[in-house]
Parts: sequence; structure tokens; C-alpha cells
Amino acid sequence: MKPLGFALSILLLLGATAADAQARPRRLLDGKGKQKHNWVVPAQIPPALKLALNAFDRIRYSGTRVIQVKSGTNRQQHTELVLTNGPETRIEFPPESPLHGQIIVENPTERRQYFPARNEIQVGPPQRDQAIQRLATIVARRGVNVDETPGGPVAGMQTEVVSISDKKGNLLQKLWIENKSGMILKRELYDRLGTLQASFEFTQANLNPIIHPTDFKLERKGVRTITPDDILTRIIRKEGFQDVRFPAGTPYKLELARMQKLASQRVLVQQYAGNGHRISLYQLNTTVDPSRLGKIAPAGVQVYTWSAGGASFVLVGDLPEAELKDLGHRLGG
Amino acid sequence: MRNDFEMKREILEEELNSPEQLHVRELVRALPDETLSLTWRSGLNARLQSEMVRRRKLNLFGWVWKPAVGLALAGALAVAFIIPPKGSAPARGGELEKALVTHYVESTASWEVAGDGVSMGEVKDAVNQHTISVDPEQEDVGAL
Repeated sequence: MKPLGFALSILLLLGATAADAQARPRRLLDGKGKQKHNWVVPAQIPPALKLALNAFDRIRYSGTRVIQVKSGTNRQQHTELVLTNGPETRIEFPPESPLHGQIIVENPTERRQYFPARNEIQVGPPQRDQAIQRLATIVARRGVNVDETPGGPVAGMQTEVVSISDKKGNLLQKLWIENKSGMILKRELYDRLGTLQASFEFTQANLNPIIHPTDFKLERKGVRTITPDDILTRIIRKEGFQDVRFPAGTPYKLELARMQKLASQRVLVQQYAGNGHRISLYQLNTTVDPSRLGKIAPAGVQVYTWSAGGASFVLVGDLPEAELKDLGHRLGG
Repeated sequence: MRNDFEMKREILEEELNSPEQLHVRELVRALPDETLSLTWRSGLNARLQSEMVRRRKLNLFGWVWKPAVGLALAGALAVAFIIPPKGSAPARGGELEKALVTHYVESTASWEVAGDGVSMGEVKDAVNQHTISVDPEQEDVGAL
């Protein structure tokens, strides 16, 4: 009996190990693990999307990602080499890319981008968390339908495709999610007329990458460190704009400040993100028509304008109207 | 009435013939009777003539500068009220408003899909820096 008992024990042990291995992704799927992020995964969403949102904090992969964005009638494309370890990411660019040499390292508290030509590291708020939070916010909306169907292989892996559309059935975006890990292998965003606006696709992916702790460090002595606020201050001084920016108390962090020519006008653009929302503040030395802006803005996007000291300010964001207005008032509008 | 008038006249006659009045009359009569010198008159004429020439010149100049000032003023008013100053004109046909909203929509889509990666603005900057030297803080996307 003894050999038989030993064999049974071995079988039970192997069975338990296999069951545990199968249950691991289910734990992610059910979201029972400890969440490090401050946003909630909606309950009533398809399993693949739930898996992807819950896997954000612990998924590990490396791969080649091709990103495409439509601007006017042109589509621009670039390639990124990505390494991810939960909330930490490292991005490099292939030798043929104009961005080759730049390195981006992101962790839950900051995003560091190294520009070799300027010997400069730009330090800003993390963006990956914001993008995932935004996705969670969109699917949690009442006026949105979320469906899941088999999606076929992407980068050699089987996927489920999640389609997000509005109440009338207009497609907003599609996500191809790897069945077991929850890795989003492909994503497409559509405009209100159903045209592909932006997309990314992994052409190659590895779910078991070799990771070293130094992969997510970006420090070099003698390198100048600069923040988006520093850049904004520099532009304001150089171009003579008014120093109007979001106060420190808001949840929205400045990600980008730049001069831009829009319809032949020189415009100071400030882009903020927070709580899964995106807000842009435009300052320009010309008048704008608020009623026209209101008519052009797509559904879900609010616009608030005001004038001060000979300049016009335009606040555009996907916030409720009252909240955007309140933000405008705090900025002097 | 007539008697009152006659009485006042007599009183006045008496006062005029008073010793004090007679003394003042004598003093005035004693003053020397001066006549204006020809030299002074000539000098005055010369001064008046030169003043007239200056006035004429000023009047002649006035024909030039007064219309010039008027034209300049009218021009300034036209610039201020009719011709809008450069840089403050709203773009025709709502191009600017459209460009602002389009910029928000496109940059948000770029940001959303890029996640932790680079935005399209950064890619454009990098492409521009590869081809021509540009200010890294500025991107010319024109009217979208």
C-alpha cells in the first residue's frame, strides 16, 4: 500500500500545482489581487478587458510596437521597442527611427525621457497609468456598449477583440487582448465618423522577458534635468505670454508645453492629464469665437473661453461642463 | 426836475474851482509836451514788418502741416477702427476655432494610443530635426 499511497500523493501534488497554475490568470481576471492604482476596474465588462485592466500592475512583456496616428489627411507611423514590468516601462527606438537614442523610463511616480542631442532628461508625470485609467473610465460610462469576440492572432498570439461603441452603435475603439496574460496587443481608435484616428500593434512580443532592475533607471551625471513646468516658464519669458497655468492643487498634471502654429496663429499649448481626463489650455493673442468652438467640439468634449490682458484663453477637455468652467474661473476666466 | 439839475451843476462847478482842483490843473499843465520820435516810429515799423513776414511764413507752412496732420489723424483712425491690426484678427470662416478643436482631438487620440510612448508631436519634432534645424519648442502644423 505504501508505494500506492506515495504515487497518489505525487499525483495529488502535481494536480494541485497544475490547478494553481491555471488559477493564476483567473485571479487577475477576477481582480482579487492587490491593486496599486487608484482607479477601479468596472464590474460589468467582458472578461478579456477586465483581465487587461487588472493585469496592468503586474504584466511583464517585451516587444516591438508600431504606432500610427492620423493628422489631417496624413498618417504618421513610428516604431517603439518596449519592455514592461508591471507599472514600470522602458522604451527605446530602433536605429532607423529619427528618435533613435532617446530613452523613456516610466514608473508609478514619474516619466523620464532622455534626449541625447540636448544631453537632457525631461521629467514629467507618468502617462501609462493615465492612458489605462482613461480606458477604464470610458468603459464605465453608461452610454457605451462593450462587446467581446474572438480576435484571431496578433504577433503570433491568440486574442479576444473587445469593441467599444456608443449607444447608436458607432464604433469608438477596438482592443485585441491576449487570452491568458491580458496584454493589449493591438488597439484602434476611431473618430466620430468611423475613420481610424490612431492605432498601435505589437508586431513581436515576448511574455517572459529577462528583466534587470537597471532597465528602469535613467540617471547620468552631467545631464540637465528639466520639467514641463520649466519649459512652460521658458516659453512664457521668451514669447511674452501671460503666466497662466493650472495651480498645484488640481489633480491635473502638466505633461507638455509648446508653441504651435494653428491656422497661422502662434499659440501657446499646455496639455494636462489627470483622473483619466485630458485637458488642453490654449493661449493666443487674437480673438476666438466661443459659440463656434462650442458647435465644433465633438460629443463629450467641452470648451470654455475667456479674454484677459489682450489675450484669449481656450480650455478644452473631456470634463463635465461645470467642472471645466470652475477650472477656468480658477485660472482667471 | 430842472431845478435839481441846475443845483447839481452849480455844486460841480464849485468843486471844480476848488483850490485843490486848481492845483492839480496847474501840475498837469506844467508837464512837458513830448512828441514821438521818428527813430522810435521807424523801429516800430521795422519790427511790425518783420513780424508780418514771419506770420506770412507760418501761414504758408500751415497750409502744408495742417492737412498733413489731418491726414495722419484720419489714417490712424482708419488703422484703429477699420483695418484690424496684424495678429489680432480672428481667422476667417472659423479656421482657428476648427484648428483648436482638431488639435485637441488629434493630440488626445495620439496620447491615448501612445500611452507611455512618445506623442506624434515628439515624432514630428524628431523628423524635423533630422531634416531641418527647428526650435524644439515649436511645431508648425498649419491649418489642420
